[in-house]
Amino acid sequence: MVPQAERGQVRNTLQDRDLLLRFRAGDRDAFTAIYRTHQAGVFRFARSMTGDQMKAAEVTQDVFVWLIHHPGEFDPERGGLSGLLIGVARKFLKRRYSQEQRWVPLEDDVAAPDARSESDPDAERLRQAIAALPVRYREVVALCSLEGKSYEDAAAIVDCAVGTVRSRLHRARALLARKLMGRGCPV
Amino acid sequence: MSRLDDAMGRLAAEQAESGAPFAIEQAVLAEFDRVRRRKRARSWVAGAAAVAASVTVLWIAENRPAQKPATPPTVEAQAEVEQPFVPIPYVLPPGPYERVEVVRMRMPVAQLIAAGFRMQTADLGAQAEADVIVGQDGRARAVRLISISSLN
Repeated sequence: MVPQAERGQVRNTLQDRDLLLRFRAGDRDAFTAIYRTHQAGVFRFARSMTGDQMKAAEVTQDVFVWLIHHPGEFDPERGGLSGLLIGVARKFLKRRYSQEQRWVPLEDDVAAPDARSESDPDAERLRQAIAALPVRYREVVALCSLEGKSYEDAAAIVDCAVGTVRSRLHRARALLARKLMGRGCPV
Repeated sequence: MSRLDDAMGRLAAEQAESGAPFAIEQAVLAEFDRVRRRKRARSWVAGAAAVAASVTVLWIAENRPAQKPATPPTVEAQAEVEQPFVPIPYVLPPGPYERVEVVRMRMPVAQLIAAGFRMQTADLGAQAEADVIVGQDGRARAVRLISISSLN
């Protein structure tokens, strides 16, 4: 018996493969379907990593423009399309970090708050705490805890061993618990 | 850790609704259209260039008959069929589903020169035998040169 989640994943991969074949042949509707299926996941990952909607939108655009120019990069044997796109987003984010380190942000940029609901103070505190984590911990939290990716998928995206993902996630959760406790939020 | 899990669950649920703004979709699709247009144009130009190059090679070969060894007529006939059609300059090529006719005719070389072809013959009175693709509107679209017979 194949677990239901696994069957769903296989179905998604087949669907992605079919859409990609049509997209490579120049089918605009197929590309639109790919975009609409995967843009939210890429956007959420980029937003968790940057803590900024504008930057997340720019990274999402970069990822799909990259896909347009590299239609042959998807290999179903190496994982799903979602993993590939998030992996590409990760590379764009890395490039962005290294570029941003060359510049000193203006005070307005530093203080600019992201538009978010203030209805859940715990979630908002947690969001701030995640944004303050080192990148290697932040990405496993974004992938496993927020996006619901398996350790195996996260390891393929981050390009490390599954055990490394586990230990990073464990360490990240301990850091988050400590940060939230320090802000008067018992966890 | 339960409160951390709860907060993480609420944050994930809150984020689940979010996605990139619609403007990003429009920008990405505009890029897709731009790339597709460029690819089509590139393939058309490459096709036309290949046709032009092969025709040039054939014409050069045709103008040096003395150096060529004599070939049996059957081989000549086969080579004749394989020659590509050359689009007539400044005339739109036939559409992908347009019905066309191929008409074999004799015409003065001067007429081909007037249509924009570069002919490598000094004799303007020479007669050319050619297959001509005629579109549904009756206009000639492309020419396949079969032979040139000089009067001199």
